Amino acid sequence: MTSTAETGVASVLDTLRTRHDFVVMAVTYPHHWRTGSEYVRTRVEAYARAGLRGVVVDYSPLNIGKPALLEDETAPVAVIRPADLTAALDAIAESGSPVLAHSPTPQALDELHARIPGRHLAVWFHGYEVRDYRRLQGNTTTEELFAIRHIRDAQNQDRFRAAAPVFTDPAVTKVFVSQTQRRYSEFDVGVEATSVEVIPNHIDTDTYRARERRPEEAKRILLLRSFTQRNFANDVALRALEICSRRDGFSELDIMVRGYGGHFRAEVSQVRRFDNVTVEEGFSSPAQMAALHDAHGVFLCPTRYDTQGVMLGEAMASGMVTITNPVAAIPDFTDDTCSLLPRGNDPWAFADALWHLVTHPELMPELSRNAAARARAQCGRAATIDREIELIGRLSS
Amino acid sequence: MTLHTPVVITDDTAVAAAARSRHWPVVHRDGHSLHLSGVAQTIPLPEPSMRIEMGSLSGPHVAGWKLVLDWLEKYLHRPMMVVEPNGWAQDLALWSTASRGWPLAAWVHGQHPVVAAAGAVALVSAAEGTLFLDADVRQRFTASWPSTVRDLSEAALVDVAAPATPTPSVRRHGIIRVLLVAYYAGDNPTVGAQRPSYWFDMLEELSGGDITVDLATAAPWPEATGRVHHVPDLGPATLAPGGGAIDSWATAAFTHASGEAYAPTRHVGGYWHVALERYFAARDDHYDVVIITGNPFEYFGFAAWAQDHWYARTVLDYRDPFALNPRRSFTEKSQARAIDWEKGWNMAADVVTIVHEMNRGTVVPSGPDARIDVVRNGWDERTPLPEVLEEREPGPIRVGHAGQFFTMTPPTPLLEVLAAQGGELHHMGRPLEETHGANVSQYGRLPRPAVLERLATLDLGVAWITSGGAEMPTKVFDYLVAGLDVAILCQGDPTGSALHDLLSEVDGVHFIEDDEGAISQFLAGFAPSPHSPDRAEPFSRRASTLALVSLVRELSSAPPGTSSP
Repeated sequence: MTSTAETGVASVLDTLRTRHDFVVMAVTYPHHWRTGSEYVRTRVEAYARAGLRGVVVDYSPLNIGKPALLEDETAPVAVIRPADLTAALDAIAESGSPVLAHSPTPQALDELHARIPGRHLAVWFHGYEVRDYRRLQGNTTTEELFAIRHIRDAQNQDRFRAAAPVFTDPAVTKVFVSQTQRRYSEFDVGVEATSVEVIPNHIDTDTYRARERRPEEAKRILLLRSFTQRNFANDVALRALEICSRRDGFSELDIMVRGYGGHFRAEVSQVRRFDNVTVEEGFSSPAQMAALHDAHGVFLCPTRYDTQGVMLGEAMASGMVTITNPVAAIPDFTDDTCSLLPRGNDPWAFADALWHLVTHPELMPELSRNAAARARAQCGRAATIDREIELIGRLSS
Repeated sequence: MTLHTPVVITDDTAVAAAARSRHWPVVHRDGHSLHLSGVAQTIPLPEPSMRIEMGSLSGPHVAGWKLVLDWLEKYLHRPMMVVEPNGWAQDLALWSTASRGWPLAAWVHGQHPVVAAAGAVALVSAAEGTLFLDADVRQRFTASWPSTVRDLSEAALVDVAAPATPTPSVRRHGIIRVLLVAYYAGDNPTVGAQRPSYWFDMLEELSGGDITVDLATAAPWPEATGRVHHVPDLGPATLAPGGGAIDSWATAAFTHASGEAYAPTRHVGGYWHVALERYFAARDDHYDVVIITGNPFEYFGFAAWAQDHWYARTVLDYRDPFALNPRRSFTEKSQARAIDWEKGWNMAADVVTIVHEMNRGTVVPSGPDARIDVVRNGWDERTPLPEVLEEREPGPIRVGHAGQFFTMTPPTPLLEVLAAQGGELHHMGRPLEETHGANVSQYGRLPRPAVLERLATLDLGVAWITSGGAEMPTKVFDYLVAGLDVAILCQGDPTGSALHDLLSEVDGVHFIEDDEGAISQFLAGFAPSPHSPDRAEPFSRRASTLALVSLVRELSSAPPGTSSP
C-alpha cells in the first residue's frame, strides 16, 4: 500500500542522492490504481525482505504531476516525469547506489548509459525492449500494419540503436531471462552482449506450492491465460478443445477457461456451448491462480512466443502437468519429462497431446513431480532472487 | 454468358478508330472534360490522371472519379474499361474492378513496348485481354512481357465468363494439402514460371498421392487443369474496394511508402498479398503447407497470414536472391530497407528454400535458428527432347542464348568477338538493344519446346557468371539437353562458383574468362560436337522436386502419436 509522503523535485532528488542498497528504475510500477510491472514489484519486495534498503523510480509517461515520493511497505517510490529523468539519474550517480533498470525505453537507456557508471548499472531486458516486432506478426492485422508500420519500424530502429552500445559495454551488466532470449536479442540488436547474466523471473514456490497430481486429475483441465495478444496462442488450445469434443469421452472432462483481454470473447465463443466447459472472464490474482491450479490437474499453456513462460513455470511449480509448445524460450524451461510438447501453431497436434494424456493418465504423477522439481530448481529463489541480490552486491562494490 | 461493353479510354485517334471499327464506345479527354461517344452529357475530368497512391481516392477528387464510373454505368451496358498501361486511366480501370467488379482490358499502341511498371503489370495481368493495333507491336510487347498476353475479343459485346474457382480445399486425414503461391505460373515462357508450374503439375504424382496442390497465381492461365486460383492483382486499387474514399489506414500506407527508399508496393506484386488474403478469407479452405515462390518477392508477406489463418507451415522459395542479389541495382539506402523487409518476411517462414548452396549467403537471416534448404532448379524432363544433330551445318559459329541479359554481365565482349570473327548469336528472350555489329538473330520469348528445337540447330550455348559466382541460370540445363557445348563466361575465377561446383565435371562445359581475348582464343579453337542429352539427367526438375516432397512431408507431420481430422 502506498501513500504520498513528500512532493517536489528537490525532495525527490534529495532522496535519490542518498546512498541506497539498490535503486530500481521502472518505466511503469504498480501503485495506487496503476497496474503493470508486478514482476518488478515482487523483486523489490524480495530484496526488502532480505534486508536491502532501496528506492524505486517510476518515470512513466503517464506521470504528469509534480514529482512525488510515495511511501510503500517495501521501498519508497519516486514518481517522476520523463523530463525529470536526467536530474534524477545525476542524483543517483552522486549517491553511488547500484541501479537496476527494468525494460528501459530507448531514451531512458541513452540517459542511463550516459549518466550511471557502468559498474553500478544492470539493465534487465525482459523481451519486447530488444525484439523485432515482426517476431510476433500475428498480433497485428495487415490493415493495422499498413497504417502503423512506419511507427513500428522507427521503434525497432530506436530500440536497437539505444541497446547496441549498452550491449557492447563490458562495464554494464545485462540481464536476460533466458538464453534463447539473449540469442534473439543479440540477433535483433545486431551485436553480441558482453557481461551477461541469464536470470529467469522468479517463480514463487511459496504461493505455487507443489502437489503431485493423481491420474484421475488428468480430466480436470485449466486454460488460464491472458487474451490480450495472439502470441499467447489461446486459439490453438481452444481449437484443440473443439477437435477433442468430437472424441468419445470428451464430456467426462472438466474444463475451465479463464482469462481477460481483447481477444477473450471472440476466442472462447466456440467452446461456451460445451456443458463441461466453464468460461470465466476476469483477472486472477496470484492467490486465485494458485487456487485454480490446485483444483485442476492439467494446464494448457499454448504459445507462439515466450521469453520464459512465467505462467507455465507457475503451473509447473504447482505440480500441474502442462501442455505447451517448444517454441522460442520454452525449451529452456521444460522438456518432455516435465511437459507434453506438441509442435507450435498446430491445434491438431495440441489436441492429440491432450488426448494422449487423457487416455494415459498414469503419466500424471511422474510428469507432475518432474515439473515441480524443475520449476523449483530453475526458477526458485536460489536461482533467481538470491542471484539478483548477489548481483546487487557486486554492483555496490 | 455475361456480355460487357468494352469502352476504350483514349485520346489516340488510331486507337479510337480501331475501337469504333469494333463498335466500341470511346472516351476521350477534351480539356477538362470527358466525352463518351454517342452521348451528349460530358463530365468534368477530376484530375489530369487518376493516381490512387497520390491521393485520388482520399482527397477532394473522390466524388469526381466516382462520377466518372457512374457516368459510364449510366450509359453503357456492363462497362469494361479498356485502358493504356501507365496511362491516365489505368488506376481508374483497376478501381472499377476492385470496387464494382467490372472486368477490364488493355490497349497497346505505339513505338515501344510498355515499361513493366508495377501498375501496368497488374493491369495487363488482370485484363480480360489486350487490344493491339498491329502485329509488330504485339510481337515486341509479347516478347518482353513476363506473363501470358491474351488478345481481346473483337466482338461488339464481349462475353466475360465468371472465373472458375475450385471447390473448398478441406482438411483430410492422411493427405497433405499444399497451396503454391506464384505471381507468374502456367504456360509462360519465363524461367520464373517454370519452377512453380512444374511443382503444381508434379508434386502430387511424385508424392504418390499423399500431397495435393492448389496454385494461386496472378497471371492468367486459361488452359490450366487442376485447382488453380486466379487472384488478380489490382495494384493500389486493392486497398480501395469501396465505392468512395479509401480507409485512413490505406491513406497512411500510401503516404509513408512514398517516402521510403524501398517499398514493396512500388514493385510488381506489392499489393498482391492483400488480394490473396481477401480471396482466401472469403473461402473455407484448409492448407497444411503454403509455398510462396518468387521473384517477384513483394507478396512474401502472405506467409504470416497463412500461418495465422490455416495454422500452416510456410516455405518462402527464393528462386533468385532478393535484397542481397548482386545483380539487382539498389542504392545503399534502398538496399538497407530491402534487407529489413526480407528479414521480416523470412520471420514468418518455417523454411526458406534456395536453388543452390552458394545462394545461402544471399538470404537475409531472420534469426539465429533460421532454416535454409536447397531445392535446385533443373530442366523439365517432360519436355520432348530435340533431336541432337549428329552433324551440324557448316558455317560460322552459331552461339545460342536463352533468357535475359543482365546489366552486371553485359554480352559486349562476346558480341565484339562475334562481330570480328563473323559468328552468329541466336537470342531467345527479351530483345537485345545493342548488338555491337554482331550478326544477332532475335526470336523474342519462345515456348520452351521451341527454345530447345532452336538450340539443337546451334553449336554452343552461352551463359555468364559474376565474380561472386552465385548464379544458377537454368538456361545451361537447356543447353545440355539440346546437346550443345556450353560456354560459361566468367568475371573472375570460376572455382567455387555455383555452376563450377555443378558442371565442372560435365563433358562439353567450358569456363572462359569474360574478355575479348579469352573468348576470341576459345572460339578460334572451338570445334562443335554433339553431346548426349543424358548429360542433363542428374539436373532434372524431377530429382530436385523429390527433395521438395520430402520437405513438405517433414513440415506437415505432427509428432508421433495420432493425426486426427
